[in-house]
Amino acid sequence: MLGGFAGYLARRVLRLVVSLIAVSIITFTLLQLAPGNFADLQRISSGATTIGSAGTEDVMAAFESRYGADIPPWKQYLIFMKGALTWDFGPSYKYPHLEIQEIIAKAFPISATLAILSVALALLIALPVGVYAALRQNSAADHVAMFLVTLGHALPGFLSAAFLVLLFTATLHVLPSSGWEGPRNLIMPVLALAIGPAAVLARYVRSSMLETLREEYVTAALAKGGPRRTVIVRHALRNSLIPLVTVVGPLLASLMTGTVFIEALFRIPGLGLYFATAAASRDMPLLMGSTLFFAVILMVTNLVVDLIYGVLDPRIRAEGGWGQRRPRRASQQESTQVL
Amino acid sequence: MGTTATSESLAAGVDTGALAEPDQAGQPELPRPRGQWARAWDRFRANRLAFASLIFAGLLVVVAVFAPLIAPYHYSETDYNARLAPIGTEGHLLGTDLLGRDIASRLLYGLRTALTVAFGAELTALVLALVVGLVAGYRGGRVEQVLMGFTDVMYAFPSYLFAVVLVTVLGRGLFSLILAIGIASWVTQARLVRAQVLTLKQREYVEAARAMGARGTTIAVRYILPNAIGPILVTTSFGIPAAIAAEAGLALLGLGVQPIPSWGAMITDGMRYLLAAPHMMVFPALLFALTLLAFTWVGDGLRDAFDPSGEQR
Amino acid sequence: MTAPTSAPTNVGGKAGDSEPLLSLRGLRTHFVRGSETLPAVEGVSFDLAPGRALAIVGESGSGKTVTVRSLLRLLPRSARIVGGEAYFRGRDLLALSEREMRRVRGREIAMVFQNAMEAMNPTLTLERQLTEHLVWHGVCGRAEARERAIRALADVGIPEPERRIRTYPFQLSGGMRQRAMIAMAMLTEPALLIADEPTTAVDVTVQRQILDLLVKVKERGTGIILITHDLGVARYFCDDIVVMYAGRVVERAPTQDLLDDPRHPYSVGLLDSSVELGDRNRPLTPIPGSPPDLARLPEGCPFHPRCSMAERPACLSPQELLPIGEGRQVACWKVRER
Repeated sequence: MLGGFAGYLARRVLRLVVSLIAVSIITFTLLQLAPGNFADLQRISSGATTIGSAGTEDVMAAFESRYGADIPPWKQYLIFMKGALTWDFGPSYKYPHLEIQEIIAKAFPISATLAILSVALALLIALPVGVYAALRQNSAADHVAMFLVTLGHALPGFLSAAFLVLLFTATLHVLPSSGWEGPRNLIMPVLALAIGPAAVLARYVRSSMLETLREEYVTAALAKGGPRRTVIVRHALRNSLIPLVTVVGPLLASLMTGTVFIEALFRIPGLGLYFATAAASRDMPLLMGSTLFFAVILMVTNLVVDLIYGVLDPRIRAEGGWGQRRPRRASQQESTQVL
Repeated sequence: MGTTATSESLAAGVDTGALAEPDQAGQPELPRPRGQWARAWDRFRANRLAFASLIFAGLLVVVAVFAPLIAPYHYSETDYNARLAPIGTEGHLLGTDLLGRDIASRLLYGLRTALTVAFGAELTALVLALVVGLVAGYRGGRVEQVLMGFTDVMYAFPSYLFAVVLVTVLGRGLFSLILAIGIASWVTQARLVRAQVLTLKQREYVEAARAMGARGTTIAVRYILPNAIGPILVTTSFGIPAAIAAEAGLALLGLGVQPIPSWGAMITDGMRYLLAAPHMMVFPALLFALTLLAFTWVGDGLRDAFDPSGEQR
Repeated sequence: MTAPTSAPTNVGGKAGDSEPLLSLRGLRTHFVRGSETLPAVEGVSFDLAPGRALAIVGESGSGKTVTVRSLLRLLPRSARIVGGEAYFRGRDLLALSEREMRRVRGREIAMVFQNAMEAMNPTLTLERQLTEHLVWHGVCGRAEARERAIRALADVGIPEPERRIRTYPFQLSGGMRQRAMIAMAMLTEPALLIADEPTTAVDVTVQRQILDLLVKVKERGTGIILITHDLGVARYFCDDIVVMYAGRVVERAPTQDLLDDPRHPYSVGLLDSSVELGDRNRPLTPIPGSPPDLARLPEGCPFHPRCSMAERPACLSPQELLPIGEGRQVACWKVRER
């Protein structure tokens, strides 16, 4: 058995591959089960979201030439996966002049931009709020902050977006409610997307900080004559941020979900929007392609996050404790926090 | 669709003193958890926010049930003479939308949709979670491994997106919606149930029951289940607002149940007429927010009632 | 910090000693928990001469830790110092501003804790932790501090200090960690070292190493306050012992005197229930009853409910710590009557 870092990495990559295969099989199977195909759907006029229609006969022909009309599903799956590995998902139903991978390549950077900016904003909000609330535990400010956190946590991104739009577009007329031309289009989507993660992070920062402040080494640092601010930042904050990294994974998942709805609401041409319209119009290849892509992104980032966590916590790095996620819990004595 | 409850304090409060003589059927008498429910209820009632939210939520349920009787108009009743009418128009207290449909009525029907789907989906998820979780926790073995493997895979993939895929598969009907959301969210609860079972399996009264000859299923259902209900109740109550949000989100994407109104779809429609008729979006958004908050606070209250040590605070 | 102080007691040290290093007078520290007030420390006084070692002995909850933390003003937010003075090198520590206090901590008064694993930041190297306070206090720069730290590690007997200094606390053995902690404290050459149960969390072999190290520290002229519940540890190198119970001092005497002839009933009980010191053949007699609940202290002497010699109504009035013989004090009317 390989030891240390190399072994851990190998094992994680293996798990990643297995999970991806599982996700792709599940998605593929589910989509095979879906009644009706694209062509039928286009012939029935549906409700709210019809977004153009292409020459459906051409589309079906192209599809059949790629996958074959009478080939059993499992072979179709293999063809699809082979294509996926070579970055060739084939044409989309809905946009037959575009290959799916082109769509992904164009749309993903947009979603990624939204996501990254949102995370940055969320951190920017959550860190000060969480630390402040921890330092002033049970004060009025703490209660207010935690109330706002509950609010931000309970309301889904698109609802916050709705309120933002009502405020900034309908009432104040300062921001556009759709489109993707310039930085002004970014403001509300990013803000809306950031609220949920900010709430989760703030709560996490607060409780992590509260726990760290109770550790004896914080008191010890003060006993050495440490200035309050230095001790808070270098000893308490630093160590309380490390476990935060484990929250990032689930956070990314929820961020990904958020982009789907936010892009739909603001009509931003990101991967989320394509995912949503693919679902609405039964564009199977696009749906599969984007789902798979989402899954890959999610799993890879989770892996990267775990690796970063190992880098940050020297205990894992040095002693080959790769694979153990929990930092060692210190004592729960009455030596309560002094800050 | 996450879990926040802890299990210890609830299970620890079980009154095992009543492990008495077997009843007529030969199965041992159930040790009734006496008093702990009453205590939890007291704590819940003391929490004013939670209690008020519970009342409000109950009100919402009643309104939803009687929506067809309360609503002044049917949800698809159009009035082409009063399209995009503002608030306070005669006959349309909250205005109308682009087709002249009464917003207030559609709000009420939207509430109905939201709660129907949410409760249905949560019930589905709960049943699935209970069955699988109980079996996995109590029997272990292959079921447990499959469950854990499944959850590992699903851990990465967000449940909302899975619901989207499911809706694509299952079609657009009401039942499909309920099923899709339910299937997308049972996994976390199943894990919780399993964890509860694992903990409770080792309590003395279970061993005692087994020594007295009780069979596996009996133990699982009569002993473990009642004591595990607390945390399960909490996660279920948190699942409701999540399901409401999921339904609205799916409707927002155009994957909802046409033509039954849904707040999500109303918000999307409202976006298009934002400047001309902001009231199309304001009211669904507000009501949606209030509903979510109410159910969330009930969940918070339940969680605090069953676990007053409140590790999160 | 108002409140009446008790009469200065001339205790400890030999006649003709210089000014005491630390002179604690009537310290009172209370914890506020909701509507309850817990008098964790209620009128503690003692002196410590320079270069001497004082042991504070008592059960958990007796207020030993709170006392020394009050000196350094490192109390949790629910605590309040409500009375007393602590004269250290001519200044009242309890009256200093936070900024001035910070200059005292780690520089003139240093503290080592019970569990080095918890008292050290697990994510910082030894180098960072051992040098940071030198820099804070402006003793020297980072490079010089590093050199000093390496030498200090060698001083306390840690092999390969140049290599060790780059490691993390969890990579050391328990004993080395504890010694490193002492080295860290001594780097600034403080006049007073407070050691809070330094041997409790380590095994017996390491205990000896730590104690020898503390002896060396004392030989360097640093005053030591040692907190322990173990009389054997106190005997090892401490000159005087202060026995605390329920936040008060019940007896104060030179070490050997106390061990040979304890006066206060609680001290007697402590010795009788102590494993290390007793005659192997003597039966162990634990003190009857349980430690007091600070929220519900009895009237007068806090120990009297468990005391075999208790007599009402005399024990119901507060007992003052008053002299009884050469360099000894006791807080029990009955003992002094004999």
